[in-house]
Amino acid sequence: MKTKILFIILCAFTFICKAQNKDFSQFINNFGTVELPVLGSEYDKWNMILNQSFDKVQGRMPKSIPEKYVTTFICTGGFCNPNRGYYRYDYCVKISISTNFYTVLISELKDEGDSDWDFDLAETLLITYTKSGKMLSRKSLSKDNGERWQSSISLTKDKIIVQQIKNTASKVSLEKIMPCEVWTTEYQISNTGIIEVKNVSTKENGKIKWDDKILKYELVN
Amino acid sequence: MGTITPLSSAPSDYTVLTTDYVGNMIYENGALKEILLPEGYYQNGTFYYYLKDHLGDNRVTINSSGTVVEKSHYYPSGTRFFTESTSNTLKPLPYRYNGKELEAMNGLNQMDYGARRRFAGLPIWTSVDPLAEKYYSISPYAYCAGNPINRFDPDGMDWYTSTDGKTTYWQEGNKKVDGYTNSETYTQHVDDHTSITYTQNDATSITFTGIDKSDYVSQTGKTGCKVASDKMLANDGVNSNGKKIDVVNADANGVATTPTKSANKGIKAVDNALENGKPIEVGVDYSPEQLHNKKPNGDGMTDHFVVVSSKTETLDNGQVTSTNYNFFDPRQKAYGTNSLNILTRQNDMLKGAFHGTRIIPYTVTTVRTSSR
Repeated sequence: MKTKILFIILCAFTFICKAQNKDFSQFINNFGTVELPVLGSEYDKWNMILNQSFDKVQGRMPKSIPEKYVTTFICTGGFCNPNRGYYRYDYCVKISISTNFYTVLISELKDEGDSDWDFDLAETLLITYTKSGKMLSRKSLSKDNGERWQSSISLTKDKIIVQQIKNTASKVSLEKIMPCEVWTTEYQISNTGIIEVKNVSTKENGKIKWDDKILKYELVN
Repeated sequence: MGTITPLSSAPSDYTVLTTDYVGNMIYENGALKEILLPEGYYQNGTFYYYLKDHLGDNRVTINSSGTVVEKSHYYPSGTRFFTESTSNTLKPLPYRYNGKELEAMNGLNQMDYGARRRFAGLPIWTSVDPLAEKYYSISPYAYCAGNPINRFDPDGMDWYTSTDGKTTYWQEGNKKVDGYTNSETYTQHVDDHTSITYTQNDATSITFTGIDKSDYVSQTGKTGCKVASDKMLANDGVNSNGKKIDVVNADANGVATTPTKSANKGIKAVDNALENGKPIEVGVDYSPEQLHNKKPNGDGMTDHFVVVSSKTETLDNGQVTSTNYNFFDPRQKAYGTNSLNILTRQNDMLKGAFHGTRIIPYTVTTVRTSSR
């Protein structure tokens, strides 16, 4: 009897694992790829990178991640909560940092919002997974919403550098020079797939100006 | 080769003059008089060169040793208002305004452009434009669409312009003209909300604009997208209080699926508004998948409102091959009027995407017409 029960449990466990592996395989294969290094942060360039995985059915539209994959592979352990206003997660790119684990970028987008600070807030998530789909490490790299938050991400084999700009003006108005805070965070991914913050610069005050050509606020000092 | 032969019954006191044209060579009474060259002419053993302006007007004539022998300046109409000749021996040729031959004999006073002739003192042709059917909004007698300062017409068929003061482009017309560089596109503003873009020889697109960027309104914080969209409409004297036309069906998850029976009616309402120079409001569904399907419109589907600002029809041989609808999106001020914010007609549905900090796919769910 004990043997039978053990056999049934083993079978069930194997079945669940296989299903999970199949789901993870489908999840991970939907990401696009990008050649390293990626430097700079022009609007069109990053939009292409963040939307490498286009939905062919929709016709070159970003491909959203189904809710079951969001809850299984992204929002686990309180890292992010899909029930708190975030309505859309999009596949971005796989980064070829190591052959031992997967490294992916995911776009997270909040629906509208209550103030300029959180309105339409997009975050770029960096997550590492084992080959079998176990999450190793995760970080929210940057925030963007076109007005309060702007970011610039550089990806290399050795490190990831994120410059975050926070518009601190009491009221955002395009075409004018705005006061801001700017800081840089440097990340490294260890051989075991753990994302480590190696350095965070002090926050500096500066000024930013909207540039119509690159559709971005740019630092002017 | 052509010959002008005097009347056989000419009175005896008239001087008989026979002019023969052999290619670019002109003979008088059998003797070589002059040779016409692309940049000047040869006369009495001397080469003369024209210095031209952006319209091809021969403004200064110099001889082969560099001495100025004649200066001419013109009114926009083509009449000379200043002329100065420093040579007693030179007999100036009648190639002046636009480099065209002025035929003044017997008071004719017309310039020969090839396909047509023009009055010398007025920017008006003597005959109808051979391509009048292509430019129905312009008088078929108007020289260069009434702009003789910036444009000129080398052959009476179509006008050309110098855009940078150095290179002269041809922007419309039936054929390439040697010495002119093709400009890829030219946009003609037909009225305050309609413009036609020409690429090389043909009209390739027509754009109807309903609202300008200056009338854009963004939503902020608790001011919703509907309120902001309505403000945009109000800036252009319309509203969203007319008929509500639902154009797609929703599935059980509130995702837009198939067009309704009113889909064509809704798209036609969008077309009508824009063709009359007015914006129109539409509701959109974030598609195809999302975590939390908002239902603010009560139709179980519409998530957001935007304003369709303009449409551009791509033309091929006068037929519309595709239509792009640009929209103003109140959701992000920085990207609200991004030219990449486009909807297209796909299987009787208007689909597209907002291009902001992220790309958000939209499907139009409802069209809100104006009651005004």
